[in-house]
Amino acid sequence: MKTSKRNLKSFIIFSLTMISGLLTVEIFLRLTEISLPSYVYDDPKLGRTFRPNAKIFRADAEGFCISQVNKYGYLGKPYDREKNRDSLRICLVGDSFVEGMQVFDRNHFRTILENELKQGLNRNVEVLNFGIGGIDFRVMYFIYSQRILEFNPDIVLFFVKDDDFLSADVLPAPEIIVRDNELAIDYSFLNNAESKLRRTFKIVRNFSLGNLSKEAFEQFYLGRFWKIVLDKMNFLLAKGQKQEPIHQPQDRENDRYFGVNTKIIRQLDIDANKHGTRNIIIKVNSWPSYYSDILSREKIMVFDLESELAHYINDEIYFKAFEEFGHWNYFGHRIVADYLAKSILLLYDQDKNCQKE
Amino acid sequence: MISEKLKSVILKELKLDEFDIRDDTTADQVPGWDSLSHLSIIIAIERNYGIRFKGYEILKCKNVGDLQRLIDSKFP
Amino acid sequence: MVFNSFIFLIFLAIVLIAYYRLPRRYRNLFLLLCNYLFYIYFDVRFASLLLAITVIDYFLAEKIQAFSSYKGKKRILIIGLITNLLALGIFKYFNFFMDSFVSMISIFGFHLSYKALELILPLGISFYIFQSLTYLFAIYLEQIEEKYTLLEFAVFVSFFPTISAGPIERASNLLPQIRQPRSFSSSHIREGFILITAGMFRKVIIGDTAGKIVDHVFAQPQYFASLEIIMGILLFAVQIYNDFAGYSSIAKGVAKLLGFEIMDNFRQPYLSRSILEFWRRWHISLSNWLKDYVFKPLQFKFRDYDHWGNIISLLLTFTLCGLWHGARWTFIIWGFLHGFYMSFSLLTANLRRTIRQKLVRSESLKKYSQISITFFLVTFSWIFFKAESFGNASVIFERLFHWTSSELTLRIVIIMASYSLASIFIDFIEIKFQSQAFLLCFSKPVRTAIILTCWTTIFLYLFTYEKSPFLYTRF
Repeated sequence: MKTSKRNLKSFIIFSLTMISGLLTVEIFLRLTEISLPSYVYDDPKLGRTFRPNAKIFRADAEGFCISQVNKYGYLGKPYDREKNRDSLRICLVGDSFVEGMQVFDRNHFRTILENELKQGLNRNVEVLNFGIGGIDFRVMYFIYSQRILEFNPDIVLFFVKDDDFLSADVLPAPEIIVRDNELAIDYSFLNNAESKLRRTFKIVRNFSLGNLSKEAFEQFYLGRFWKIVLDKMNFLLAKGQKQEPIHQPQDRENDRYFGVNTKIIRQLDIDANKHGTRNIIIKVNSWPSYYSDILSREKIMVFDLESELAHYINDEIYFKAFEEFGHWNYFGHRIVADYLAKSILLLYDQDKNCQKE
Repeated sequence: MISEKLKSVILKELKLDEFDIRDDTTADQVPGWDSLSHLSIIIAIERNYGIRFKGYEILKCKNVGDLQRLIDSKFP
Repeated sequence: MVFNSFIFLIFLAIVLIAYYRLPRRYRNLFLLLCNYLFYIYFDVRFASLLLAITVIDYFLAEKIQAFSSYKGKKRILIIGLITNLLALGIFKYFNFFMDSFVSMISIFGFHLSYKALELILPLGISFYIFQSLTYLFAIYLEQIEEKYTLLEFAVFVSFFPTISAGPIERASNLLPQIRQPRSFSSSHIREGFILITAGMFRKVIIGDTAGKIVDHVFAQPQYFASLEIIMGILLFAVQIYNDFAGYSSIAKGVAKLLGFEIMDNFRQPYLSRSILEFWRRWHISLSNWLKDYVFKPLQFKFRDYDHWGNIISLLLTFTLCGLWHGARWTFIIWGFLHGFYMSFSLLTANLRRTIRQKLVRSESLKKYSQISITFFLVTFSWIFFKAESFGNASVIFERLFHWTSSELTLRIVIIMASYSLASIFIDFIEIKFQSQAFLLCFSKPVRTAIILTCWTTIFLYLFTYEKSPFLYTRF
């Protein structure tokens, strides 16, 4: 009898200590920002989106970012939906390159662009960053039509890479599809495997420890477990995990998103006239040439950022933060901002000249 | 046996009134005898006895007894 | 393999099981094999250098013992010192000296081109060469009377718990333990495991995490605001302490599991009340080595010059300490700075005592101001230790003195405070229980829960983090 009472007492003390221990670690992780509760969540209407006011802390091989999602759910300085008539408002949309969590907001091309345009145009300029990692061109259009337009932009810049046209976002997001020859939104994303997996971790990700566990589990999920545990001895187990090369279709026939993409591009022109915005595509890297053809046919303006970046490839301060993913470093952000500022100022100069005529 | 002379030189350098210094006493047992005061003790001994030590000889001393024997060896 | 990795934990488990199953007389041989396996895993190329140094030093020590005259012994010792330091010098400092020499003579208009040695630093060379030299010194000073076999000596030099990053053990402490038969003791296992837990927590959860921020701030200081630079510097102080002290705890724990008792390398150094005390509590094995084998002989040589003799000895010893850490001018500046601190402290000791007596009444105010001043002086010197070059250091100073504000002030302050308080908290508990293995003093259910919490966090972090090698293995 006495032993079982003692055992119960021990167990209670053990449990209480365990709980306080985990709580202490949770608090420590949050205050030091070693691991924070997840700054994204899966919204039933918006898909994977930023949690308003969530803190962001990232320090990895590619860069360092201490930041916060603003109260409206996008990145950078919070600007109201209502726009001042005298201000020039530019909205950015794109994937992790635009998200740019490799630098602080003050060094992000968003801020540099804002300052350069303010000087160049001598008026108030607001740049809103709707970039979020992992999305494709169709999700960009979704964000544009469902969220960006609410903010009354004058210019919207779509940062498009080849995989944005050619492949699909694996993360949960509403899908833009063609239904009855018109663009429509498919909200069934909540039922796919990825979403279901994410739902199991939903509550857990609201805690620092939970988010850390999710990231650890992700390593397992991505097949990196044995590499991490066995390090150099990995050759004992792994049978050469071959990376499947991403199959990039080179012609329209094999491009499964060609139809949708084309429709979206056409719609961008229609929307621009309807809402009085300027929709500009920023060419970040090499696309199949047939997309360039379509864009010029639909008279959508394209800024060739790719050529600009090509000038710096042999530069000492190479603009890519890290070979593997190639996100922009401090230098990269500066180049991008300078190029965009130059291009937009040129646009306004041309406008002025046109008006004179 | 530690001579009274040696004992008084050590105590004077360390500014101690009294401490039981024996053959097997080591530096860390005596309050205030650290690397910096160690040297001043050696210098004081050299001056008081009019002798000169070699570094090797001092480094070999493990305790005050060794030091006493070393001093004695300088006076054949 | 670094201590903070799964592969090391697996290695350790396998080694321990085999070690205690083997009959005692084979344990040293088995340990030698494990030592070399551990070393080869890191880098197979330099295992032969380790072996060569071991054999050379062993036979030199025999020769020293063979000579009866002091002159003969001294000659062999000098040969030994030259050989060992030459090996160290070539791999570690050749390019550095050549670079500095070339830039120096170019001031006079001479241009010299040389082929930089494409040499990579062998793992732990600064540690095992210093550790091996303690044997030569001990034989020379007749501090060791027993005759040790080549096997025992080889185990000592390549001892895997200490080879990658110290503590730099003494032959007179470790060799007798190698000779002793070591039997299984559950209290050793328990204490060893707890020391490893404590060390891993400090290293991985405080040191490595702080290090991520530090590396970014120091890599590109021009992009950060003044407070963020301060955060980088302060967190470096936190990182280097927790990283190194944690690693030393793990080394002590691993040695304990194998039945060995090795020295403490750290004793809550940031709570020191003077720079002199700091060096009695920071990297104790290195500072003792330098004190016994560099400072004391120098001090003795210059003893006719009173204060100035001490000062020259201090400056030389500490500059050497800086140089030991690496072939970089900023390390030398760091070392020299500490030599300067010590000399200044020595020269003004009486003056400062009088000032203190006049100004400061309360004991605790005195204590806290001394601790704060010492911490400030040490942290200031860390700027040089971490900065890659003068250019890097000067950008940092420039960012500090031209004050720029940060929109992230509150978060930065909280981050700094949290890391510092966590580190200080663990220090206080260690002091209270007089041991890094303070968990032993807690009751079993409490101890188990804390250990489990620690390892859960450590494992989660190890899974997600791109490996962070111990800072000091570059030495």
